[in-house]
Amino acid sequence: MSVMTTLLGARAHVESRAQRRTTFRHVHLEKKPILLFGYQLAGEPFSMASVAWGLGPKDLHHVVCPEPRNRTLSVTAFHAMASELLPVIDKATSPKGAPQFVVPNPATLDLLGRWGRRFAFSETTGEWAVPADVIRLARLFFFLGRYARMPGQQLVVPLTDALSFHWVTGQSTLENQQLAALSAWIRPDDGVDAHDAALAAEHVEPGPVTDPNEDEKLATLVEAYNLARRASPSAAQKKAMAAAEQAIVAHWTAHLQPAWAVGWRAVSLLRSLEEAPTAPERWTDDVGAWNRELQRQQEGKRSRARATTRQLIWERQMLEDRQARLESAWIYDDPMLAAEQVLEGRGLRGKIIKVDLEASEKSAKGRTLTRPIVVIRCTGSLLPAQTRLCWASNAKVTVEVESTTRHKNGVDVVLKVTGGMKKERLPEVDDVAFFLRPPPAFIKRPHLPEAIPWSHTPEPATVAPLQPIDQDVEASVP
Amino acid sequence: MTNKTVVSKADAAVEQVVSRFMAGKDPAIVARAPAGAGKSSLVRAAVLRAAEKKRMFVSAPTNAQIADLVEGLARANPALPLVVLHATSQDPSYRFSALKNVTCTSKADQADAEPIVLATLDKLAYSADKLGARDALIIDEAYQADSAKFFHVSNLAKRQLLVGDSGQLSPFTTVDAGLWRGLAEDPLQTAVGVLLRNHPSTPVVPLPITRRLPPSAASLARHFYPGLDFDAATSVGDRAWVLDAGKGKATAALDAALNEASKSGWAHLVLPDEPVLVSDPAAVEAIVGLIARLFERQPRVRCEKVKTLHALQPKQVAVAVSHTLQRDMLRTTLDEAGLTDVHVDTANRLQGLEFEVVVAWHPLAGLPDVDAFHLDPGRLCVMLTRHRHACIVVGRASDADLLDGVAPPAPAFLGYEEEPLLDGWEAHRAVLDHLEKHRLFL
Repeated sequence: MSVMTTLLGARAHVESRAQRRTTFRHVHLEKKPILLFGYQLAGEPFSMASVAWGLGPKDLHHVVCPEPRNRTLSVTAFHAMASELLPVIDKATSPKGAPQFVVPNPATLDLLGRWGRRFAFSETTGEWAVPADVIRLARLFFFLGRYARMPGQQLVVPLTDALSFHWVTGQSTLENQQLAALSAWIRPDDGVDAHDAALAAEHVEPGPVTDPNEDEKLATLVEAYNLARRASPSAAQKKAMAAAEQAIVAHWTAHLQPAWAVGWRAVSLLRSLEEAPTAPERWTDDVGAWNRELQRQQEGKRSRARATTRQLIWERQMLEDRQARLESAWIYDDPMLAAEQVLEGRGLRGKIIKVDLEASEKSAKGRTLTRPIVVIRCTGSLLPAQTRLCWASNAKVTVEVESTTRHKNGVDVVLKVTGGMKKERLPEVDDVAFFLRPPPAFIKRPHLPEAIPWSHTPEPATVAPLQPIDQDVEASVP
Repeated sequence: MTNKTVVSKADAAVEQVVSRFMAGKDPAIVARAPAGAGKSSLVRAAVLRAAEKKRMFVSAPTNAQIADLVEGLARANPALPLVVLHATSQDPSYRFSALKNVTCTSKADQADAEPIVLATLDKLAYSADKLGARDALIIDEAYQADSAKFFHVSNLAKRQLLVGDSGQLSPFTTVDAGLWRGLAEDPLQTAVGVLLRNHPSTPVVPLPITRRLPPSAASLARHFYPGLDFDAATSVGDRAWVLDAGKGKATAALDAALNEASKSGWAHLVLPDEPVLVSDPAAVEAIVGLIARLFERQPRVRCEKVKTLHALQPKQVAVAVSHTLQRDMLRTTLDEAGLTDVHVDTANRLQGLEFEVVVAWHPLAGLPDVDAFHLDPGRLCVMLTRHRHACIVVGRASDADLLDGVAPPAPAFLGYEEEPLLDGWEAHRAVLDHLEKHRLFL
């Protein structure tokens, strides 16, 4: 935790009111994102017990699988979701647009990826055939699950992450992972204390797992359904089965209704913030990635079930580069986040008290170089001499810390301008300015060798044969 | 009086590595060493022995490590031609101007003609397509190199020697390492890790010695090297440092800590229990006060190399910290106290360096709770194994309480056997136990 979030957390606790951590919203929100809630069966991480989605609070679509451990029923439920959801996805897709999913938490995002993983590699023929739409949606989910690793991606927005990035509450990180409690803390009803509001909201279950007591209730319902399903066929059996299924649907609907309202409330909370300048650029990247993936899938190219060493080396570099660019974009976009950096000793903020445009120094070869001097008065600075910084208002203006003088009124830091002094406007006296760590430079990576080296190739004996995994697990259900 | 049994065991281990490397029956050999084992002398021995018959690459992760290897080799055999292949942006030739047998180039095709090429792993990676394969590749600090870096260069030679210190900080990432943990393809494994995972029959030769650490530190350092048995090369009494009584007033606890460190090689200076942020001004004040007092008391040292007492220089003293913010605070405050030559850096950047006296800002000092970063055994290991004479640990009274009870949960990954968090928990507890008899309260 940074000094700033510690301070804001303490203040939130004392005032019983969530504190804004940012000036802007660093997540782009489409006009009509697809809010999606997914629930799994306890202990069955790849199962789909209940799923709901929609483009607005009143546009609720809900699919329930009465017995997710039965493969046929699973495929049926997944197919029902795919036939309704795929048209929504297709409608949102264009060369300049992509569907944006909003999910309650990162765990739901992981669940989407697992659902995708389950059917992305299925076939439309053979013993384990599934409908083409199931595979198509599964491949999109599989892609989203992997793409979610990309720092700053916005194709899928987990609400708890987004809210706790922008607000600091008096709760712990763990408590902030409960969407209902978190959004109640941030915006309690009028006259209600934030702690109390969160406590009252805690029973709402945004998924993907539910309270063990609720799981017990569900288990009884599913058991009844299975009994009815396995009885010898008759009109009465059909009726009993339908009634049992209805009870399961009612169970999930009761969970979903309050969660659905909480979800849309969280979306509007986020929407109430002004969007950060560079968030749309990241959305453009996401749209590009989405369309490239669709193109790839339409060309019939398959994803690998398991990435190769080369792919992972490349992936790590890309993720690290994106992470560095994202962190830099945050602080250059947002004065509050810039202030957090200053408190961490990674930048300066203060009033410019002197600018000397004529200052110069001699280069190693004896040439005279213009090196304007800017003096900034701060409340404190720990930056050692020669630290390189950029002006937050225009990162093309680069400076180097030359010296630091302490006095009663604070600290005067002398900055030598090392770049942008000719073409760019420089800070002026009386400006209040931020100077921050330079944005990451573009790194040209070496080519990976064509041949996989001996050191990275397992000896044949060390590779265990893979067992087929997509089998009906109902056989093992008591 | 060096410890002859230990040294002869270590010499035998070096000989074993070099002769197996020369015999060429094993595609790869790993030499695993504790802190300060004299890895460079092993690399030197291997290069010198192979120099007549083999064309080879000698590599390491950082420029500083390459520069040290070059200087060592050039001194050991001034007739041996060495080529340093360097990045276009970093010409190191000024460092080697006195060494006639060293040439520097940034062009791969120029280097390709020469028998012995030294370059960082990154430079080799960028130049790999212009460099022909060679007989041998020697990598120093191979536990600091990750699998991805190794992937780039591993094809460059059929015979490889990987030398490294397994106790230091492992390669890290700014993104979630859990994405790949446990996979054979994990790009974040160490070079040694990926090699042993794919080729478990690769011989791993331990170097059973620490030449840097005094006997007082060797037993503690063993906590960081499970399965590696080693001893100090020096015996008790080979090294000593003495202090004057010192003029003027000083906090009694600071003087007591210095006395304890000079007597036993360790001191644990404990600040009162208080919840603090990583940027704790009281700890900064204590550390700077300690070092200022150290030099007020005219410290003099002697050791097995220089047997008469001579003044300890500020540049031979380092402060090890966990965060850059702590480093910046200390740097500024030390500079203001006139102690500009005292080295301050994060554990990551102190890896491989050696000092006479080290002050370690305990990673857990004043934390409200523990996490994987601060428990990392590699970080603590680096902090406590840089010194030749003594190490003074500065912490808070609540640090030990953090390690009471049960370790925090850590994610587990199929196929990933390591438990850095639990290892760190164990190591931290062992270290605090060990420091108990050297504890002084401020």
